[in-house]
Amino acid sequence: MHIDLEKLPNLADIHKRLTTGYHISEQDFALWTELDGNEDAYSALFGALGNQLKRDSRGFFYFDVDDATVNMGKISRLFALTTYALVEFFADQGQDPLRALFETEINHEILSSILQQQYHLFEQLEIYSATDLKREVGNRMLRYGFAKTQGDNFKLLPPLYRFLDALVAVDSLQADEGHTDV
Amino acid sequence: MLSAKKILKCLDDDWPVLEALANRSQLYSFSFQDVQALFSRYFPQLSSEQVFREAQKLLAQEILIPQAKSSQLELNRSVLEFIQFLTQEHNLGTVGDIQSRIDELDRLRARLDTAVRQKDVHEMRRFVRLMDERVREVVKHFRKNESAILHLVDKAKADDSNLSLARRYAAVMEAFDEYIEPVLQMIDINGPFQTSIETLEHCLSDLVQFIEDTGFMSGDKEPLVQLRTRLLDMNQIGRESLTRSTDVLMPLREELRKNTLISRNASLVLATLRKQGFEPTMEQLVPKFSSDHQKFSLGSANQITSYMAELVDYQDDNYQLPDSVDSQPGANIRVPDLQDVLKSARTQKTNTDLSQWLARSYPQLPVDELLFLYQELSRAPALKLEHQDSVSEMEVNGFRLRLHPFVTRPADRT
Repeated sequence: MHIDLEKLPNLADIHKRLTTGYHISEQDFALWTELDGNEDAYSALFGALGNQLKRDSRGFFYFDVDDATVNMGKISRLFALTTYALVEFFADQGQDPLRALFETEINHEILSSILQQQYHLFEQLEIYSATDLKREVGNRMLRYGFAKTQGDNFKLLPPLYRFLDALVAVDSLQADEGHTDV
Repeated sequence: MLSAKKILKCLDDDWPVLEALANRSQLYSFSFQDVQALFSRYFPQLSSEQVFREAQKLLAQEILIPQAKSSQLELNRSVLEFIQFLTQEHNLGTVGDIQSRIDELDRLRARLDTAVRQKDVHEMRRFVRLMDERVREVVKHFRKNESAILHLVDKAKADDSNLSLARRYAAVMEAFDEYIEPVLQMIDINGPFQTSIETLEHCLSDLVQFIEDTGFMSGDKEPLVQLRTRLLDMNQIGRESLTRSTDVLMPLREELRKNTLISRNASLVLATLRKQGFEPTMEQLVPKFSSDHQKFSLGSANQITSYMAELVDYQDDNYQLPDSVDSQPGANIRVPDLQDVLKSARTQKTNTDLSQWLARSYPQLPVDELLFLYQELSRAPALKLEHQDSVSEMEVNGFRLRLHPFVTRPADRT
């Protein structure tokens, strides 16, 4: 396959971000447009370097990895717990989780509420206050492209669907277990 | 008493007000003051007296009628329906509307059969006209309901209130359960609708055939053919309209389903986590993502702890040492010390030729070492050596040397 490097001016930036676990979504306009327009070239290039570029139809790119490091496993766990706690928080308020997650600005108040609701679980991940939660989860979500800043607060971005998809898959797992029980 | 011309004129003159009233009457009634307020809003140039007169006019022409035992007003039903027809703001009908017309068609077919058998042309024409009317009504219902569903979907989507999806989509879901599902069942290929239509079509075809064969009532053939075509059209229109309605409803149903599923599963997962801890549950739930930077660096104490934890499972790769290769044993030959050589040369005075003696005494020594010893010994005053004039040749470790050998001075030989 012929790859014209001149057409990929943001190659270095894109590669650097993706290898650090960043998810490039439509809000990173320049990088997104370049990836979107040259997806084949980038897939081939990164594939040859041993990284699998994945595109999600909900508007983001990331590197698919099989083995996450222990650190990342912990961060991922923290993200998952926060996401699920937020889903429950919004559902309890009578809102639609899918809509509220992406439309609501996550502020200190919301973080305090979910921390209070799930304190027992957050405690196990060494999160003891809303400030901890903001520092450990909020800032990291920004770093990995799961969120963007909105003033003092942050707003979640489509890559979070990776966690929600896992949640939808729970159902089939449960169903399988149910079958084996019977 | 409604007067057609006056009503049309009112519709023309006061359209904005009537349209607003039609929208409002979906939800609640309105008072005479509300009507006046609407007039002053849409026609600001009117004086308050004119506004009152215009509102009064609507009341006098029975476009607005007072509700029973109340001072509130409502739009005349016929006018409301006409406005809704004009603005395509339909309300979803019921499956019963269609079903009753189909039943009516069945009944009329039986009557038509009888009329044909009795050769009652007058009755036959009447039934054909009635059937034609019913078919048109069914088509109208299909179209109206489709537009009503589109309207419902648009409204549900555009609703930006903070109500939950289940609440906002309630009307849509109801439309699906109360209209789409039953109508789909009704027009199913084995359903009563299909049977009625097929029977009716056969009946009409037979009749057309009869007219063609006998020439009897040939003037009435055209309406029969028309009816048959419209009947088949109706079937087609019904199916297409249902497909389109289902297409717009399905995504909303899916969205609702997914939201419900996600909220339910989130509660389920959190509950499981509380009971069983993170390990067994989370493992299959967290998507993997990795960072090279993280892979090769350690930051906080937590990370070091987790790194140590990772070390528990550490297994080093077995390193295979390379096989030893046999080397030449002579490689590490011991070079004799110069002083030792000098001493032994002095004690063994029997030697005459230094080079021969060296070669004989140290046969293993490399040539360069040998030559070094030769040079040192030849200059040693203790040995009293001198150059010989004749050239001699010798071989040492495969090297051929030609030299004027040093020999012991003849005077020293004893």
